Amino acid sequence: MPEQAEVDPARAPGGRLRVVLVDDHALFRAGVAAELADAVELVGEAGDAPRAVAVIRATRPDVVLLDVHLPGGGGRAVLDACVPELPATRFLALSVSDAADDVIGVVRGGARGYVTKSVDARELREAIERVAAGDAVFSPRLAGFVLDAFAGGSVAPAPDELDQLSPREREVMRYIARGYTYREVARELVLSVKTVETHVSAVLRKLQLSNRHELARWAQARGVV
Amino acid sequence: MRRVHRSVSDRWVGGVCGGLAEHTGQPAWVFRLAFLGTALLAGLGALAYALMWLLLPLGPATPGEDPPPARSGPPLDVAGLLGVVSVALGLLLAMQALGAPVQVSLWAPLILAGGGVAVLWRQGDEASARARGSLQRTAPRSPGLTAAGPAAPAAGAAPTAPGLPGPSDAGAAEPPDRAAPVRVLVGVALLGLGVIGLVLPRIALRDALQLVLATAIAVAGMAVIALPWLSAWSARRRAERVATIRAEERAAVAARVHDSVLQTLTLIQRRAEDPAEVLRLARTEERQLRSWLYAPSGPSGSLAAALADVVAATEADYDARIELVTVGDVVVDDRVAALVAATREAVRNAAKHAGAPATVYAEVADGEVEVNVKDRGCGFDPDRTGADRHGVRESIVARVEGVGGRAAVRSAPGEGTEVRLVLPAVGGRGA
Repeated sequence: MPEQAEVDPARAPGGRLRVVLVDDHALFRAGVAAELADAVELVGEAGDAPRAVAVIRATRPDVVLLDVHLPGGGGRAVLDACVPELPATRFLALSVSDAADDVIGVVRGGARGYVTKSVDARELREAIERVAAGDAVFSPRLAGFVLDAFAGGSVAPAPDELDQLSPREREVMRYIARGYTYREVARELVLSVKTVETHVSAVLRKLQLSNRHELARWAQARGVV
Repeated sequence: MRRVHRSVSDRWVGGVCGGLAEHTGQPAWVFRLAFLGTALLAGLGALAYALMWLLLPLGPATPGEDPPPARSGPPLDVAGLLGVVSVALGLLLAMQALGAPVQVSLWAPLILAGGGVAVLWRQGDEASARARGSLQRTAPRSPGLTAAGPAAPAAGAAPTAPGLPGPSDAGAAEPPDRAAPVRVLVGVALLGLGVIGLVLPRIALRDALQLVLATAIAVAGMAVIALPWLSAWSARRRAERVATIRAEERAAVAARVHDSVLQTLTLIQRRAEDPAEVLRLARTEERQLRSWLYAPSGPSGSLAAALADVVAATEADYDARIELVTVGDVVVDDRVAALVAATREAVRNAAKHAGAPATVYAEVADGEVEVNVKDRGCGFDPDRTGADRHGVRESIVARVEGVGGRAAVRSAPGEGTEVRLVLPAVGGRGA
């Protein structure tokens, strides 16, 4: 499989990544823990938002796998509590839901990426490593949401750079939405994988900071400002 | 035998005459004239009218007509009300001028106060009609947990978490009646003017002030006593409303769980020894439940909905995992239907031969539809003739080119397959 070598080994941390798993279904936690056992070091688990915050504060992991829907305020509550005080900890959102407002809500809350729970073990490992390295992880669906939210044409040209995707970013998003890996996107656009990652991170930043009304609407539906 | 009620549609003041007319079949003006006439006999008619207003229930909206007057249009039926008041006043003046013993100083304030009461009661009717109307409107919304967001193209459904139906929806559905405060204010002003007019000429100003003070204290005292009851009552009513909505949503969820989830679980237990069948059942159920909860597809007749059907059917038939991503949407016409049919072939090929997950991406932008089907499966050599190649050429490429589109198939052994279909100049952006 060519995707195996997606993550630049030079940036992969020396030791194994320390991961906290937050999900309210014990069965799902057990399944993911088994899948990841030989790839990462699982330092903590939690089944609701308050406990998750406590575990994350205590263990200061590299990556938190965070369920969007959680008792006690949802993944969003965990992000709100942890993102400001733990800048080194990266959050990867996991969800069964395909709803735009769920996804946009957690990404705007500070998650570095989003994968659905149907993701297979290898993809999940890659996503964790990518997020740990400071890059963004976009599923095809998240890329689709971004293209939808930043759709041009119908809206008046936005004065704010944050409110528009550059043509290159749009192109990268389109390939990701078609199911391309970063490496395949890079080959297709004759770029380095690093450049693709930079574009995706830029899109993530716009997703988090832009005030486009679609994003605001989705965020509002989740009770997010 | 129908009960007498007050009319919603035919009313000047409280709908009493209209209601009587609907009940008896006589024209309403007969009753109006009668009430007006008897009102001059020491206010008898007005008193009777007020009594009937209080006692008769507000009637149902005329069948076939849209809901009760939950309008926030003109703040008052000023014309009707002032008409009644001024006609009464005019008659009084005329009678006095004719030498009849009428004390205008007594009657005029009474009429004003009566007008004020009428306005306030009318507002009460309005409020109860609105409450009824909003209940009627919320009822059909409850079966779905998802309150579909207003026209969001790709996946614009605002999901309510299962088991947590949002009761706040019910209140928010009704736009506030902006005219209500105006009506209440006018009513209170009329009533106040009437009372003042009644009292002032008869008592000295100092006494009047004392009287007002005493009354205010008494009212305040009563309010303090009644407040706990009032707030408890309104809280109970709100709770009841929320409970009703919850119960309806719970019933909808229960029906759904019973009809599909429980059935599937039973089937899975029976087929426990057949892993492939169990997997298929679980996947089908998951897909159905997901589409019910999150309603990811667009409105029926749209490209997004058609593709969602294609993907769902293929997943069920071939036991494959296919992700669908749509951006924008369009109404399915003949050409788009051909594109969907070609997509179905491509998706089926991927599910049949690739042996790996596939992604279907559809984008509608600037009147052009692109559908991309990509898998990371075994791929094939497009230059080698095979049954597949024939199928691809006939059912995918020819179909799309036949409606003025372009089709490209990219594949190599071990590299997966990608089919890209583009249909330019597609009209009518979907809702």
